[in-house]
Amino acid sequence: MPGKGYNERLRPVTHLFSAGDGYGVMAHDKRRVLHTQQATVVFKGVGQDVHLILDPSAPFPEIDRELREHLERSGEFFAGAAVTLLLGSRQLRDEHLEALRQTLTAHGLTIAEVRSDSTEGAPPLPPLPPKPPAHVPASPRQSVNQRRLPTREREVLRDNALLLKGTLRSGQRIYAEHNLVVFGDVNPGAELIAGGDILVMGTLRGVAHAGVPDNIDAIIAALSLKPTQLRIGHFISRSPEFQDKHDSGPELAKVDGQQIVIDSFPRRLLGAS
Amino acid sequence: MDGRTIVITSGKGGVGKTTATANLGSVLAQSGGKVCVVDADIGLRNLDVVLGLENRIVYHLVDVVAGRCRLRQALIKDKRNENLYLLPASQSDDKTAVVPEQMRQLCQELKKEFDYSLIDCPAGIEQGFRNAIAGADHAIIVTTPEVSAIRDADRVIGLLQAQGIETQLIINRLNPELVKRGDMLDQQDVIDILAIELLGIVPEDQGIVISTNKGTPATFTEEYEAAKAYRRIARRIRGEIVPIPNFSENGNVWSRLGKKLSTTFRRKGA
Repeated sequence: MPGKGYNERLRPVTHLFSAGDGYGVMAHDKRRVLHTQQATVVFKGVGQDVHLILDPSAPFPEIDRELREHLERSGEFFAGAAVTLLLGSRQLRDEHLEALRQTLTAHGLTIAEVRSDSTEGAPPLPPLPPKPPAHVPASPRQSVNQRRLPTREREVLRDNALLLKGTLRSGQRIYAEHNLVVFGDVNPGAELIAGGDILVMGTLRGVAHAGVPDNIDAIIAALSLKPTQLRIGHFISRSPEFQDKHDSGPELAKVDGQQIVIDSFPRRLLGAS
Repeated sequence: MDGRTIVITSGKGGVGKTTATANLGSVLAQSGGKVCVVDADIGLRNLDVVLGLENRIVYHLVDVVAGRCRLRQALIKDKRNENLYLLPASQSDDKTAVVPEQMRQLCQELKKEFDYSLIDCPAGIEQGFRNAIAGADHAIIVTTPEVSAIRDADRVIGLLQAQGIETQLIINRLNPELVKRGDMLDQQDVIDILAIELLGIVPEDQGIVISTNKGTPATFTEEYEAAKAYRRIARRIRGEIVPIPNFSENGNVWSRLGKKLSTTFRRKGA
């Protein structure tokens, strides 16, 4: 509806069809392209999509009228199309949007998406995260925090796990065919041996051998990883000469390249140290 | 009512089992309970020496289980402490002279007559150890704050828990000066690994060496710090709640306060 003081001006209307995919160029419109002026309502083919571009400065009644006329002239051409409505800097009122929708529906079109530059619209997409730094081979106890765990088959993740509750003491030895979870500490002199992964919800101070005999994708994880020795598959690694008393938090050990490396978990955000 | 049978064990040798048995036995007897201390270290007996009763041995434990004498004939009553009796080990046999079942029967007999039977266990985890724990319902693990002793203690605790025997811990020969300097593990380090209830701490004390050689348990003399510690432990064994003094904290108020603050912050920030 024209507001107060609205001064309607007649403007020449030009219809533009871009030479996008899937759209033929209508012969009579080709001539009009040469006399292009600012169009109020433009249908544009962009790849597989149809964009309906509305001139942000044109008042709505004009938009509405133009669209109707355009669609009348096009006949069945646009039927079945799902358009992306591009409003630019226009702020479209709900009733106007509804009017447009009805006009489009009457000619077999639907609105797939509405895009506008207005600040009340969807926020701009966040920038892509920075590329992860190049892989650096780590010595034990050095944190390498940007690589994913090796991809495993779903079957392995469904394997049985032996769950033990309580502290494992020196001289006690546990065999598990698949995965092993200890809810408690593992004291020095105790041994954990598993065909799959070993998880210790406590402090691991003894020896853990995961991935027996040759599954080098197995991991050993603990809330506090202070083992005398770690073994994964056929790899053996011992802890460095001095153990810093400072608690490094939950860590996991895995095979990377030709050695066992230690990573902290849960995974830190990219970019954080 | 049946008495309690407590085995005093450690795994590692030389950490203070015999000393603890002698001293705890003495104090418990002095407080009125009828106590029998049993030397289960066959072939390497020491309890008689520490108690100063070596020259009164006629019959010993192997004689009793073999049926060569009655239990009463082998028991030696301490003249200085009328409630305390010693059942000595044999010095000429070895650990194979006794089997666990025989020890179990022996302990059953002792239970009927004595309020407390303290069994001095030999070092190791073989036959001697198995014999000593056969008749026990409770165990006291003795360890020093040293890594090797703790390893062995951990092994022994595992074996005892597998048998369903209740375990408590005595930390022996703690040196507060070394702990303060960071050269010795403190009680928390020990408990972090062994994870059993702490019965008491006995500080390093020259008085122990002196009294052992004299054949008089240190608890006969009030002044020694170690003797005081054994007295506290004896009270706890009898069921009293006695706070454990903090041997690691020395120094003035400020250093103690500083330590408390840093602990708080560490916990909050973690």
